Amino acid sequence: MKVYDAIVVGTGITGGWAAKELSEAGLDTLVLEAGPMIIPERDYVEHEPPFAKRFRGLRDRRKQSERQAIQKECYACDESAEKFFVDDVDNPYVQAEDKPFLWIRGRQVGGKSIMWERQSYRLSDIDFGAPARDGFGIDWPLRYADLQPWYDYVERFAGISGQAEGLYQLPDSKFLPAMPLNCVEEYSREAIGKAWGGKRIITPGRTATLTRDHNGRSACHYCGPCHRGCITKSYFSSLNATLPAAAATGKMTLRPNSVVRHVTYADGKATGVLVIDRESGESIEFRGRVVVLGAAALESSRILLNSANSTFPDGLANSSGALGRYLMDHTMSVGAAGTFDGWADQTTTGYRPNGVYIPRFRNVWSQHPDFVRGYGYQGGASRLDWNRGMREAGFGVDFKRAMSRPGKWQMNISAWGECLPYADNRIVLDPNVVDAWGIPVLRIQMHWRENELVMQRDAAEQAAEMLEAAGAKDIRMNAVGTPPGLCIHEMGTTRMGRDPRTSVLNGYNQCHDVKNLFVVDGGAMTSSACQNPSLTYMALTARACNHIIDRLKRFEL
Amino acid sequence: MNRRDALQVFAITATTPLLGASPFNHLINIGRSVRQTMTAEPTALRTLAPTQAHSMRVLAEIIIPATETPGANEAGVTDFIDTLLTDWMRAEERDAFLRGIDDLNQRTQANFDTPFTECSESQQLQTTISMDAEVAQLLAIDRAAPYDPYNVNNRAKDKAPRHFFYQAKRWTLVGYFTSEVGMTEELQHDFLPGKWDPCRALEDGR
Repeated sequence: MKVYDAIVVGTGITGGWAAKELSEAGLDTLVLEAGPMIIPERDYVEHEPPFAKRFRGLRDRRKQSERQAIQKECYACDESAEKFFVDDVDNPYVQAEDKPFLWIRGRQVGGKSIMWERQSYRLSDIDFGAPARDGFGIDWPLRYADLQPWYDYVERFAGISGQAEGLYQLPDSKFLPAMPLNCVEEYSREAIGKAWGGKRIITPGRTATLTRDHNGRSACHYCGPCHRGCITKSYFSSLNATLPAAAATGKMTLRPNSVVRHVTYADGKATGVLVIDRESGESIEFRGRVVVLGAAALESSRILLNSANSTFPDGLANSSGALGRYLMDHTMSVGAAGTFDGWADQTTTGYRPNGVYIPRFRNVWSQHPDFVRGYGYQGGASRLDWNRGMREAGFGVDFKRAMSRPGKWQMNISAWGECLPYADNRIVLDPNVVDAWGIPVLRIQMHWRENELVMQRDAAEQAAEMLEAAGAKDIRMNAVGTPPGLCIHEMGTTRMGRDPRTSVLNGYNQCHDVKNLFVVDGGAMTSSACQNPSLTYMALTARACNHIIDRLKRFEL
Repeated sequence: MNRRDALQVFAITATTPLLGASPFNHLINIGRSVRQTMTAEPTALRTLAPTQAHSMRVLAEIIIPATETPGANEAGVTDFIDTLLTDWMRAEERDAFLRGIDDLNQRTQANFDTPFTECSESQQLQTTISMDAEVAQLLAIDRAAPYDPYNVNNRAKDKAPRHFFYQAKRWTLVGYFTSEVGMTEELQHDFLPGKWDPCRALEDGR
């Protein structure tokens, strides 16, 4: 049987990076994807107008409640993009009673990198040092200085637009030009900056969307719905960037429709993977010198749990017992919205696939009495459109004219909050349920705890205060967040750490127990920070691959 | 999309030599596909009875009349509502909507001794004005309802959406402003802006 130098499982953000890095280093790399091939020219749908769809963007409600009862909770699972989200009937999982966890998944070449929100932020030593400082969780096995060159490296390739602010808690990236703030956001930046002595900053969202041509990909044309694909490859995704680079080496073998059931193991090493062909149901074994799991945290952990053997009865590489535990996501959806009476003669051109960001200000300079860690806000200002007509009186000629013109400016900001690692926020295999390929599925048990809920209340109140300081009217605050999972930042179930007794991975995403087995996705996260995590996953993956290449050269794997 | 913006996109993509022809062709073809009408021929109604459809057409055109741009009927709003009634709404939503259309006749019978569709334009307008006023009142009540930001999921249901005219106007707005004529002619929606301008003066209120 052929033995590949490396097997990469998954083609999303991290699988794509692993494919690129390993094949560019000359390794004979097999890349496995559970879902079908996506061909941009055929499958991207960002330019479908609403009137090309049967329900005009209202979604096929009946089909969705039948086949995508979970996935439909995601804003991006719309009438054009629903095909990029899994079928919940074929891909079941079990939720603990009264503790909903919404598991949003994309199974196709490109994974969720097709539909991701593209917000890209570095973590800082406030984050990497947090568990050691406040005692919640274990120490990260690395610090910002370890990851900083790898952030630089992935950003240069991916292209991140944003504005340098020189903040310690949110280090600047290697930026392409920012998408400038609009007039209301610019005014709010000044007003809020003044009200809080420069400690609260509104900055353009940092996004993996090109504001100028970059590495053979075109600048954004501002059509809007990026989660449906981008034929000009203007945002970073595996399909738009890393997989074409990997393919160009001639060293990558990409095999779609390959559902990995488990990792095979012998004599202290991973020997490859067992795949079930998605279409034929046939079992096929592949051999590799190194196995890299990048299937997203929960799927990679599920593969390890399904790879239990006599040496590792509780899941492969799980001598610590940490596998499947410490599941985290970010809290989401609390915040405030308000309207502005001014700037009535001003508007914007283009559908900016981005907004504003307000970096963390809690527990940066002093300790808040009620909670540890912090949150950042995303949001933005825009003018109301014709949808406002439903909530206004009127009809006829003047009404029609008014509704085709912009309404008041409104601004909303909502908080993405850090979640602490708890041993009993965890996943296990369900003893009874299997998916459409006969593979045991996950039972997910997670809920927000005191620290998350107290922090969310503070985030909502601070959002309302900031909008008030900016002069907004009719401010509506919402302190009730959404269930875990929906932020789609699930992470932590194969956490990295210094001590093999309390963590699955070391600082190079390498299993403590099985040296030629790596997990490069969000499973590796020791703590969640509050920043959108994909950029950090990219940097960790590139760094892990560099480690793999280095060790292979020295015959140490 | 207008020609000027199509040319801007042309300029942007044409400066990217590595992209090849395909994305560029795709972009300029969008204008064409948007122009080529995607609104199908009026299909046979599947839920609305002919008289109900007639009432809906009259009402939709009162809400969004033809002006220098087409109105609700040319945009196929009633066909769209029939699709929603048949394939999208829950049974109770559909039944409430159909009851609402039928109630239109009861209203005008009571006031003018005539079914809605056979009323004079001024009687139809008068009927619409009074329904709009009823919805406006309910909207005011909803706006004044207590709101607990710490318990938003348990707040009382809004009253306005229970009124037939609220729903009729809602689906007329959606049907019109997501239609091809609504988007291209009335909204003048730019499908390919080609740039982000964060602050510019309105032109003709747009």
